[in-house]
Amino acid sequence: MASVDDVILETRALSKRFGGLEAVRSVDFRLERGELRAIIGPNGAGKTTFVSMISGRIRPSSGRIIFEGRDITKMKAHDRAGMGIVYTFQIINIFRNLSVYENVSLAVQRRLASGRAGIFRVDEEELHREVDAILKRIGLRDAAEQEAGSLPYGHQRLLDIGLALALNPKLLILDEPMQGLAINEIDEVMRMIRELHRERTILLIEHNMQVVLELAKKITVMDKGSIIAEGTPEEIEGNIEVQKVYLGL
Amino acid sequence: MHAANKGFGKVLAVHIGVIAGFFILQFIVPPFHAAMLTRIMVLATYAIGYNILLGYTGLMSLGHAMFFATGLYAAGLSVIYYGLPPLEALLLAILLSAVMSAAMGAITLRTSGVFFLIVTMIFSQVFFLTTLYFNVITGGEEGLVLTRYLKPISLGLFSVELTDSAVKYNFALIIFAIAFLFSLWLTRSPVGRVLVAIRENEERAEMLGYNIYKYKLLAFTMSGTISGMAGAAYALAFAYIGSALASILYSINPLLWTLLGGAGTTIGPIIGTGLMIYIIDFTSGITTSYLIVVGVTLMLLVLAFPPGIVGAIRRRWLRWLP
Repeated sequence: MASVDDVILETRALSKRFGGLEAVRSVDFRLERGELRAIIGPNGAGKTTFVSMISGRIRPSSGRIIFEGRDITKMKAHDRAGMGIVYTFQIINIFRNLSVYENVSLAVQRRLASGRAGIFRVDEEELHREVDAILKRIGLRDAAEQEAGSLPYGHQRLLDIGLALALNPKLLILDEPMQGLAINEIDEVMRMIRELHRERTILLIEHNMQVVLELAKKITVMDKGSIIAEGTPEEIEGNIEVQKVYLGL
Repeated sequence: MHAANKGFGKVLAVHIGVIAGFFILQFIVPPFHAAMLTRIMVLATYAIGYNILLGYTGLMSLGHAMFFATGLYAAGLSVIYYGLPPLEALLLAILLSAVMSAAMGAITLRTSGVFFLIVTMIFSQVFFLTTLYFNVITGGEEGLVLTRYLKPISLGLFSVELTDSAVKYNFALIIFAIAFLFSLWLTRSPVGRVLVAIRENEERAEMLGYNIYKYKLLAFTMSGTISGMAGAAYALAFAYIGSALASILYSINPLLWTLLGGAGTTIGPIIGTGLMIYIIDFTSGITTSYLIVVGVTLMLLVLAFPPGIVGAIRRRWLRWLP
């Protein structure tokens, strides 16, 4: 386990306004290395906006983001991905017209290509080995030549996570990975998330409480753009305010 | 792409075959068609350049005449005013086209979609009007003929004249082969794969950590440079430069050729260019309102083959074609 003060990610007074709407309000958040943290909250709580600012897809209105001790508030999304912050979209986002193999190889290639020469030349042998290893890990080796868009929904989700995995991230942000999956597919994705967690920090946004309670050691609850509670699954389950938000008590 | 690697022998054979085919044709076809093929090879080079941006990166420009004409004028004017030998003029033109397209890319790539289309067109029109404005130097619409100024190309022991039609043909063939093989290399290179990724899903490519702007700029520059090389070859092979070659028609032409033959295929731009030039030649011999016939033919072809001719062939039969 990581030591207590090994903070991988921190946000300070992070806010985002869309016109008159304050989607995220001055959020102070800390994530320790090696954690599997879940963020829950009702629709419109600002969860996706919050993690989108961390991944660089959205610019914050104010506040700071610190990753491994470095202020990355102004850093571009692609540079953050290069640093190890990898985001998977809420809606499955893959290269639908390319083969499964090509999808994964694009991610692996990005990791192998370091420095300038990398964009013109890549060790094809190594690329192939690594792509094959990822395909094996996500169980899509037999579908390698298939067009990604023609895969069953659950397999598309696995491929999506596989793309993130291929980048070997330090911090993996999964935005509602269970959305639209069948029960047996949920089990498969959960198994994979557990396996991924052995090597890296994971930030998980999820609606399915059963999944959250089973996976996360610590849960952050957001409502109306703010963090309203944080704690272990047991603490959160017993929290009056959380019950109010969820059950309208 | 491991499966594709196994088939690379086949792919290479097809591409070498196309080049060899053009080489052999010069000994078979009558002079008129040899001249037509010379023209087709030069303009196909332009389409190949255009296709790198449209077909492999997914960016539609309406301003490529600017780069074609940069190469054209750089080569033509340096031959006329500075007495540069053809190959030196060609190299200078390629260099200037690279600089021009990198600079234009840096500006226009800040826009996207329809705005990109319009911004590239506007810059190209500025370039076109500039060539008219300085007509004392450029010859304006009437243009200038290079024939008197063209020096022989020295090849060590002997030298050849670009006014000789066989030399013209093989000069065009070499230019074409360079661009054609470059585009094949590009589709198989790591850069080419990223460009396709940008075409297919820009947002995802960015979240994989690719710097989209840099890759687009690279594609834009490669595309503009090859277009400029084609323009220079045009000036040198046909010994003529004129503003018509910088007009919007010459921005639309490579778009049509590429779409007709198949955007995002290496061979498509060549088929498209060849077909269009022959259709225009054939119909204009029959009727003065030949553009109507050309238009109808184009519509029918696009209806029959939405992904272009080679695109349709690839979809139905030859999935391994790059």
